[in-house]
Amino acid sequence: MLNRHKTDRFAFPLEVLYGAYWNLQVGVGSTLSTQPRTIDEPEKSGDLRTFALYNFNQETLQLPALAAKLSLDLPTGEHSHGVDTKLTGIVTRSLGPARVHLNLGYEFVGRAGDGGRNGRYDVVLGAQYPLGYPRHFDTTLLADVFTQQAVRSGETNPSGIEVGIRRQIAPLVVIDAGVGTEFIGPAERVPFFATAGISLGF
Amino acid sequence: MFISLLARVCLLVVLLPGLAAASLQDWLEQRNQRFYLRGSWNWTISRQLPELQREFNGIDFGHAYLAETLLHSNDDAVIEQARLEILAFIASKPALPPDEAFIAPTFYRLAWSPHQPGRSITTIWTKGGR
Repeated sequence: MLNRHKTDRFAFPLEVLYGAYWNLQVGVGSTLSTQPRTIDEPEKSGDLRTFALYNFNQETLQLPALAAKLSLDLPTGEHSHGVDTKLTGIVTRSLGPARVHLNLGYEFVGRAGDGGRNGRYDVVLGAQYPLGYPRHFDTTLLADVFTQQAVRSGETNPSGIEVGIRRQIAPLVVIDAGVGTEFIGPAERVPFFATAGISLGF
Repeated sequence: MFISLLARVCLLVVLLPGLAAASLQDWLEQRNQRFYLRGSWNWTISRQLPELQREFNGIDFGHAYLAETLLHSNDDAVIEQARLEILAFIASKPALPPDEAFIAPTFYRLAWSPHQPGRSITTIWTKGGR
């Protein structure tokens, strides 16, 4: 939910996850944002987001770990129309203590705006590495490159890079922070964005 | 489209005949992971016996790291270095359980982690004894 209108935006996402069954995780969440009327993406501020993540297999010597995520974005937010559906395939492979992730997603937009696409893909190639290996395992370095099809036809895909840190500070508490930039894309691409989060287990 | 798919299947059969001939069940290994069950016994060891928890964390690391080292090397110097690193890790009394998939990425892909069932049983015993 980046702001490509040359002004700053603050967003507050909240998500609740539950392991409902073997290899299955379900969740519900929403993101509240400042300047909710100028959001380009199909997901708007206040939309109710539900999803299910299923892990098809544990990584083996032959195959990487494979998972699929199905998300439904319900139009409960401001200026939101139509139900958006997104299917993402997630591939994870270990390389020594590092892990590489490839996420391939396609979103079917329920009701696109003027000139907007009815569907768009996104690709994320990321990696994580435990800092301090093999003495410490509570801090992980994360990085990824991403590209996502532009919201409107004819525009260049916004593409960029993100770097972050995740740190486990207690058995059920993880904090994380990251920064990123879109270095390719339309003229109004976002030169800098930052995020911070906390995950709590119950 | 069909020709392209056919060419890829042929390539798979030629390059990886064992994989191509395997059934879907042989390809996929789920290990049935899930969230921990709800229960009053959860986190009993870390709350009531934190010193034991730290010992377990160190020992879990030791088993995984040694297994990974032995998978990759028979060199005495390498194994001795691993032993010293394990002792140093145990002596650091780690408060958080290390991620075995990070410590032993090859071993973890070969076998199920033996530690989680052991931890769960010990936790329930601890809760029952109090």
